Amino acid sequence: MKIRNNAAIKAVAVILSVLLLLGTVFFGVCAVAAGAVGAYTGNFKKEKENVLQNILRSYAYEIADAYWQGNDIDKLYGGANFYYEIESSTGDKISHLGKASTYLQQTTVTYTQYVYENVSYTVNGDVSYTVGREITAPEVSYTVESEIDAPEVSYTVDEGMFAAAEPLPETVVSNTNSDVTYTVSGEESVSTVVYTVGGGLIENAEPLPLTESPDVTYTVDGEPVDTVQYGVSGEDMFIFDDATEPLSDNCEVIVTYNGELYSLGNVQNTDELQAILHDFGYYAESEPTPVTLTVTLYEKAAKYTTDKLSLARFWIDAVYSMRYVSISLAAGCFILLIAVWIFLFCAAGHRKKSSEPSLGLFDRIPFDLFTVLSVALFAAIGLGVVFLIELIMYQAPGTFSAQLTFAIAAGIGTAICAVVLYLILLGYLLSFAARVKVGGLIRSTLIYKAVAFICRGAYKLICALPLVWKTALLLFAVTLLELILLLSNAYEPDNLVILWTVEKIIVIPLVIFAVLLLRKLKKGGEAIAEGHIGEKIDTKYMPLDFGEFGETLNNIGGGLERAVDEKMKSERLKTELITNVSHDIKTPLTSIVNYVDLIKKEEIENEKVREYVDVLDRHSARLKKLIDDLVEASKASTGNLTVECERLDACVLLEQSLGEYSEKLEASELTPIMSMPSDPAYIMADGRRLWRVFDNLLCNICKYAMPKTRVYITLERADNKVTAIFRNISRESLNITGDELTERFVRGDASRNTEGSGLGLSIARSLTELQGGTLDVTIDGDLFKATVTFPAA
Amino acid sequence: MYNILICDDEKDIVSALKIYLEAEGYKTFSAYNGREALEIIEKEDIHLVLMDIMMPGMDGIEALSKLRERYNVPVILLTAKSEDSDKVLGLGVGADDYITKPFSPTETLARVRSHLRRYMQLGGGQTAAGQKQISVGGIELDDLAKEVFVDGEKVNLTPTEYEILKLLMQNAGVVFSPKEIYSRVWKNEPYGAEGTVAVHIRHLREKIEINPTEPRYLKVVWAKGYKIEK
Repeated sequence: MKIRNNAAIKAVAVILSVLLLLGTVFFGVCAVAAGAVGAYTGNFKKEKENVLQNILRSYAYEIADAYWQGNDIDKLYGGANFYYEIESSTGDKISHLGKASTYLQQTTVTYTQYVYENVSYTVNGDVSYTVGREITAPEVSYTVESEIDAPEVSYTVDEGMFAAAEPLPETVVSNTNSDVTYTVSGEESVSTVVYTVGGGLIENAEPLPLTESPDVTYTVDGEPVDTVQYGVSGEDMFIFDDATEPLSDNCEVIVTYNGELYSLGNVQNTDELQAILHDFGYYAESEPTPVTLTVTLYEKAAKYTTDKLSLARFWIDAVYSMRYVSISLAAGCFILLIAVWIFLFCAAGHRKKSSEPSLGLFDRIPFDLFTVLSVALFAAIGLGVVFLIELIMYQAPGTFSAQLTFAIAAGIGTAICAVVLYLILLGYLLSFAARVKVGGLIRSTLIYKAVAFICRGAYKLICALPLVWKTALLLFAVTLLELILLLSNAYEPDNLVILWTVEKIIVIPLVIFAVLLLRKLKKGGEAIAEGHIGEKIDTKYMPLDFGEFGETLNNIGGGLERAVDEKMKSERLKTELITNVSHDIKTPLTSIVNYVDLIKKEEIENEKVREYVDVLDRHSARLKKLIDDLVEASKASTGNLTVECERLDACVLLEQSLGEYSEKLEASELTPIMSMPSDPAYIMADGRRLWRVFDNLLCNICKYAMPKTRVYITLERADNKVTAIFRNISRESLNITGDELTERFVRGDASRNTEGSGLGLSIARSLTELQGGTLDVTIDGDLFKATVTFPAA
Repeated sequence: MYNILICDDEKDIVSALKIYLEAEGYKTFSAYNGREALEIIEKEDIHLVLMDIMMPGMDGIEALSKLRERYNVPVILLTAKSEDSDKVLGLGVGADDYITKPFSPTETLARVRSHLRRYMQLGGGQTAAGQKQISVGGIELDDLAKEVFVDGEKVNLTPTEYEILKLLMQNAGVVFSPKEIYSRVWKNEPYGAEGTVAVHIRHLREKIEINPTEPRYLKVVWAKGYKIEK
């Protein structure tokens, strides 16, 4: 059994790959860390001290901060692996020296903080802060108030912008003595504000106080009016819908410093507020008092503890001592990991009891669904881990040892999650590999199946529709589309031109394609009509009805071909039958001929017997001729003869034939009258077969022509044709047509039943036709005329 | 006194041939299939074989090819098969002549005589001495004596026939058109008189061929002319 088929080995390989992956990451990190501390470049000691010094320095700043905030340093850093000394410029001094006589390293940092005396500030007067500690209020809101005595108030902020504002109530406008107060505050800066009171522009109107983004509220006779719509203008224009919406962030900051008020401008958020305040600290007339802390730390030369510093020392040393081992192990793990991966991918899909790769349970899930599920699972777990890490980060405990335990637990948790993610990814890729091996990856997807189903359904529907309906529907759809596009783009001729061009680009190739298909079908039909019934139309790329029509033509061709084959077969069988039967007849006939001859040689006294023998002799000869003619006729009519046509001179052939028949003609008391051109008359024919034709015709003449008449034998050449005409006067009256004469077993007159087989003319005609010529027999009274015509060569 | 083996599965044909041949003075042996024929040839001194092709057991073609492994006696095939291809096969296997059924006894006898003469008296392939003698197959033409022998028998020819035969024999295998023959024999320009050539050829054939409709030597090449087969 092959290893790749063993599920247990594969499971082990997967576990191995996890271990190797962890090993690679761990040792890789170790090796990189070793590089970071200069383990390979030789300045390890210096780098190591730098790192440790930095850790100690960060401790020093932490302690300074803690001191500044007033926290208990002993409580926070009691377990740390150092002694500390804090000296303040104000004279405070805290130390926790313990046995500071021996230490591994020491560091001193100074930390200066500016302390503002007698500074307080309000943000819009609502909230007061004291400088010197962190600002803890994240949200600041304020209002700025100002009072204007104005009998009539209307206002514009940049002309026209208040058009939509609700006018002041009638009573307000008419009552010039009403006490109108309004409050402006806002988020956005307003550069120009102009008010008019009582219809005239108030030149000296007091500007909106201290804010550039007015939020206007007003009261009439002490009664607050709720909804006023207004607009502001500034560098950016805004229209505010609701004046009552409170402002939260964009605040005016006013600082009271040593009893004086200072406006520090607008802020958007607390960060800006802090920055402004910090700047103000330098800007203020009275310098803040700097307080300097000097923090000195001494690292204990103690054994390794769970302290950050000693842990760092331990790991740096460990990483250094293991630096080459780490690299080797990382590389080894990585190489092995690659090997395991290669094995897993090679083995993917292979199973017990099967040499071919096959699909497992998960592999049968459609690929796209599988992908979506895998990604969803991966993302869910991945995001969950990220979320958990974020969540945990805020909950990190204060002391370092607790932090360490926490970090280790979080690390292990993260590693487990990472392994799970890795397994999901590996499973997905292995399934992918198995699917690729088995094939049909795309075809197994739901999307492909759905698309294929829809396409197949649509194609079937189209196929099922009758052709006329189909065409009408298509034309209707195209016309409708054209109409819609035409109407929707009626005012945009440019679009129409583009659409027209696009339509033509699509339609013209389709029409040409259809025409090409039609031409192919036409050619196929013509080929069948011309008798090339074996030719098939390739319907592979013919869609819809074209293909069906092509198949129909092919079927017609196939049917014809079968019919012709049957016919040929039956003709061949007939010829074979005639040939075989004639063979069987010939043998007894031989005996008859021989024994009749023997009888003739005997001395026969009886006159009657001699007569009978003569009859036997004559009829056995006729039987012999009949059999030969029968075989020849059947062969000639079925084309079962080989005809080797070559270029011949018909004159010579005719002369030779006449030479052969000169005695016979003389014996029949016939006078041949020859007429032929002096030039050769070339035709394409088989000399031997053509001689048989002439032989039969001349033989007929000898047999059936009226004695003491002339026989006209003419060879003519006209219209690219060579014609040999045999004319004679029949001895007996002929009462049938020439066509009938050339049928088999037909003789001109029933009285001539003693000679010939009735096949001569039929054979002559078949042979002539086999050579590409024609034989016509015409009878005009007693005139018998046989015409053999061949195309001139 | 020659020994002739007759081999045909049709006993009546064998006995008819026996009667004719014995009347001519030949001694005959009868066999009714190829195997019997081969056995007789082994035992007897046979000078000529008449053999049917279609026979039960071993057929004529097989028997002939076996026979030709050891003997060179003349073999005439008697058969009902009259196709060209059958003839070619029979002659190709080693037959000397081919007579199709139903055959006439006279023709058969003539062919038997001819073959025996050539085999026994003239010797295959040997030509008589003398430069003025031309010989093609069984025809010998003595130009000095102006005599023609076919298979050793003298044939009487007219001067024209003799000249035509001489021309064709001197150029055996060459096809002469009627016009050429006319101009070479009559030594005149042929003006539509070629028809006479055909008639003379026909007469000549009747004199030198056993069966003029199936000539062995003087062949018609239809629409081309005439030739003497080499």
